[in-house]
Amino acid sequence: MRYYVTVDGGTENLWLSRRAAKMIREQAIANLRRFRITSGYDYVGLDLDGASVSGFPNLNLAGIERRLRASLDIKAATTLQATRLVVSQAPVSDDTPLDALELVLAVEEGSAFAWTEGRTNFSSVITVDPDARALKVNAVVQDLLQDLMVANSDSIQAVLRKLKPALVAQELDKQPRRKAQSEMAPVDHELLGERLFLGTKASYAAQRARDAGRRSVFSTFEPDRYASFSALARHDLYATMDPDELSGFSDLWTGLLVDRFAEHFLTVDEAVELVRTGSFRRTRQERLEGQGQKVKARTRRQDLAADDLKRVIGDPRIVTADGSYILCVVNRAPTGVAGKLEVEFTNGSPSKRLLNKLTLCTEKRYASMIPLVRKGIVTPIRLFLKRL
Amino acid sequence: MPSTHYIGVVDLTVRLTSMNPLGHIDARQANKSFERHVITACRVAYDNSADPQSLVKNSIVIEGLTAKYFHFVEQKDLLTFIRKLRSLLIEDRLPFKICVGLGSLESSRLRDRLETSLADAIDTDDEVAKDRLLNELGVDDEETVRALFELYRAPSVKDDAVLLSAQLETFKGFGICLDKGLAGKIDDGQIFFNQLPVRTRASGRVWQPVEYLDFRFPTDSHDVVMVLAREPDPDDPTHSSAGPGEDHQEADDDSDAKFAVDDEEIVDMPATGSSVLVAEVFNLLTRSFKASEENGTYYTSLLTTIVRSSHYADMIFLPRARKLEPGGRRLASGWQKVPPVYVTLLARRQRPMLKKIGGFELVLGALIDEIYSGLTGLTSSASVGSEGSDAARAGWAANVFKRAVKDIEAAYGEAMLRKILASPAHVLREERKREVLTILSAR
Repeated sequence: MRYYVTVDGGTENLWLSRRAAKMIREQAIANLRRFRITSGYDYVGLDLDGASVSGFPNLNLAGIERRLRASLDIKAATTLQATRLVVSQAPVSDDTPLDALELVLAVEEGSAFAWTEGRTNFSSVITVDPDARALKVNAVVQDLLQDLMVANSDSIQAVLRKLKPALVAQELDKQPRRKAQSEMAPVDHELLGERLFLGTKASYAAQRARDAGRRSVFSTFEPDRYASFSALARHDLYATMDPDELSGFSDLWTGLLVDRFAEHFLTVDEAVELVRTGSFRRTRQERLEGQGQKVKARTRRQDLAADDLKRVIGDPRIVTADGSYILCVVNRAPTGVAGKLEVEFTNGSPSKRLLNKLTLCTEKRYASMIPLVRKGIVTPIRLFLKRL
Repeated sequence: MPSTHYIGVVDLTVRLTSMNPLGHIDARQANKSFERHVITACRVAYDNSADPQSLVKNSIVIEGLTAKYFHFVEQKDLLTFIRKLRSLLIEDRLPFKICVGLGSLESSRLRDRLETSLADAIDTDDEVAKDRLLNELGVDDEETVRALFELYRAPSVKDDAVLLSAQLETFKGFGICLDKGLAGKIDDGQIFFNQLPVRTRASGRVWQPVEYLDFRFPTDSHDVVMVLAREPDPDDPTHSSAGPGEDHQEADDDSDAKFAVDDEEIVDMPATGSSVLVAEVFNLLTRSFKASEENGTYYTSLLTTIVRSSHYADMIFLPRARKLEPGGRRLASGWQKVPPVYVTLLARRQRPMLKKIGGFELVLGALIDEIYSGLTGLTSSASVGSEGSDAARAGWAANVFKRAVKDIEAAYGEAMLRKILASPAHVLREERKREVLTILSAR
C-alpha cells in the first residue's frame, strides 16, 4: 500500500487531513519498533500519502479512481493498483470490474463502531459512530497500516510466496470450468492468491474473535475479506500499543500461519536462503527504554555462512514441529553480558565455544533473549520452518 | 440597494506582505491552487445551498487579479463558502485572509457612469453629459470614446468592494474577519469575538487589540491528547513498577510534579483532526517567523481561533503516575487529556519563538478563558451576545484550572500574565481575571 485517500463529502473538514499520513506513520512505526523487539517480527514501512478527493454526489470507486488519476498528488498512475484506504463520511459504492483492485478498505460514518463485510469489491468496511470519532478514525487507520507493514516483512512474504500458488491451484480446481466467462477475464493469479490469503486471514480473525469472546473496541467484528490483526489486538483507542496488545498482535500472526498454512512453511534450504538474501532490520541499542530503536535501513546478512546457518536452522532438537522459530544473530562483540550470551548461544553446554553467533529459539525461549535484543546485541529473525 | 447582502473578499496574504513562509510557496503554483480552491468552495456552496437556482442567479464571485470578491444573498451560503475555503487553503498551507461585510457589488463604477453619459450625449445631445465626458476623458465624440472603452477593458472594482479592500489592508491577520457590524445579524453559534494585535502610531511599541468577528473550527469533543508513561524495563531492577502509595484522588499538591508537556518523548498523540491542523499551522508559523519575526503577529488571530475551537472539558492533571487499568499501561504524571493546541503552546521547543510574537498574550488569554469555560460549562468570554456574568458553579475542577494558570505562568513568565490581565473583556471576562489573580497571589 502506498497511500490512502480521504474523500471529502462536502462539509467543512475532512475526517483525516491529507497531511495526517506523516503523523500516523510515525506512530505506527514507533509501535512496530517495540513489536520488533518483543516478538522478533520485522516490518517494511509503507510510503504513505494522502489525497483528498473533493466531494461529489454518489461517490463511487470508479469516480474516486478517476479523480485520483487527475490529481496532481499521485504521480504514477500505476500505483493506483496498489492497496488503498478510502476514508469517507458518505458510503462509497463500488462499480469497478472485479479483480481491478488489490485491496480497498473503506472507513465510513455509521451508527456503531463496527468492522463488517465489504460490499462487492471491497475488502472491508469499517463504520465509525460519531462518538469519539476523531480518535476512532485515527486508531483504525493506524491499525490498518501497522498490520500491512508487518505483513510486508520478508519472513511472512517468504511463506506467502509458497502459499499463494497452492491456494490458487486449489481454488481453480474447486470450480472446474464452471464459468466459461472466465475466458473473457483472465484470472490474475497474483491477485487471486492475495485475495484468497486475505480471506483466510479474515475468517481466522473472525474465528479468534468469536472463540475468545474477547473484549474488542469494535461493537461488531465480522470481517469478510480482510481483517487487521492489529485492530483485533487493540484494547482501547490509544496510539501506543501496550505489552498485551503487542503480544496479542504477534500471537494472531503466528497463530494464523501455524494453524492454517503449516504445510507451506520453509525447508532448511529455503530458510537459509531467506536469511542470507532477505533484508532485516539490525537491532540497535534502545535510545530510551520502551521506545524501540531507530534503524534506518534493513540490511542483508550475506556475511552469515550458509553452512553455519544450515546447522543451526536444521537442528532437529529444536525444530520438532512445523512452526514459528526465531533465529537470533549476535550483532557485535558483547560487553558485560558475555556470560549470559554464552549460556544462551551454546544451549547451556559451556564447553562449546560461541557457535558462530547464531542460535535458534522457540517462541518460549525467545523471551529470555529479549533483554539482549533490547540492548542491541542480538538481531532476531522470525522463521517459519517445516519439521525436519 | 439591499443592505442585507453579504460581500467579501479573499486574498492570499503572501502577495500583499512579506509573510511568505521561507522556501515554501511558489507564487505561480500558489495562485493556481488558490483559484482551484475558490472554485471548489463555490461548488460546495452550490451543493449545499437550499436554493441553488437563486444562488447561481444572485451570488457571484468576481473579478480582481489579486483578490477574489464575492457576493451572497443567503447567509448560509456565505458561511458554507468561507468555511470551506478556509479549510482548503489551510490544508494547502497557503496563508490567506478573508474579509466579509455587508453591502453589494452592484453599485456603480466609473465606466458605467461614463457609458450612461455617452448614451445620453448621443440620444439627447445632452450638453451636461458631453461636458462630463470632456471633463473625464478629454474627448466627446462617440467614436473615440468607444475606442477608449475598447482599449480599457480592465475589470474595475465597485464602490463597496473598494471599502472592503481597505478593510482587507487593515486586517493584518490570518483567517476570517467578519465586520463587527454583523454581530447581531449572523446567527450562528460558532462566531465569536476575536482580537487582532496592531501597532498604531499612538500606541507606540505597544500592541493594541482590535476586535472583529471570527468563526470557530468544527470541534470533535474527544479531540484530546493522552500521555502514557514509559513502560518500565522488566530487566531493570531499579524500575519498580508503580509505587505502592498510588494516589487516586487529584489532590492539589504543589510538589514538583513533572511538567509532562516538556517531556516530548512520551507524548502519545493520535493524529486526530486538530493535532494535524495545529501541526500545519505551526509549521507555517515557524517558516514565516524565519522570514521575518514581525510575521508572527499575523498568526495570533488564527492561533486564537484554534484555541477557541478546542475541547477543554476533559482536561485532567495527575500529580502522580497512575495505573489506567489492571495489568495495563500507566498514565504519566502531569497533564493528561489535553487538547493538542495546549500541548503545543506550552511545549518547551516552541516557547522561545512564541514569546517573541507581538500580541501573543491574546492567545494565552483566550486559552485561560476557554479552559475556564470548558471546566465550568459556562460560555466563553468571546461568544457573541452573552455578556452575562459567571453564575455559581458546583464541583468544578478548580485545581485543574489553577494548575493550568500556573503552568502558563511558569512557561511564559509573570510579565506575560500581567499583559493577559490587561487584555479586553472579550478575551477574558473581569470575573475570570479576578480568579486568575487570586491564583497568582496565593503563594
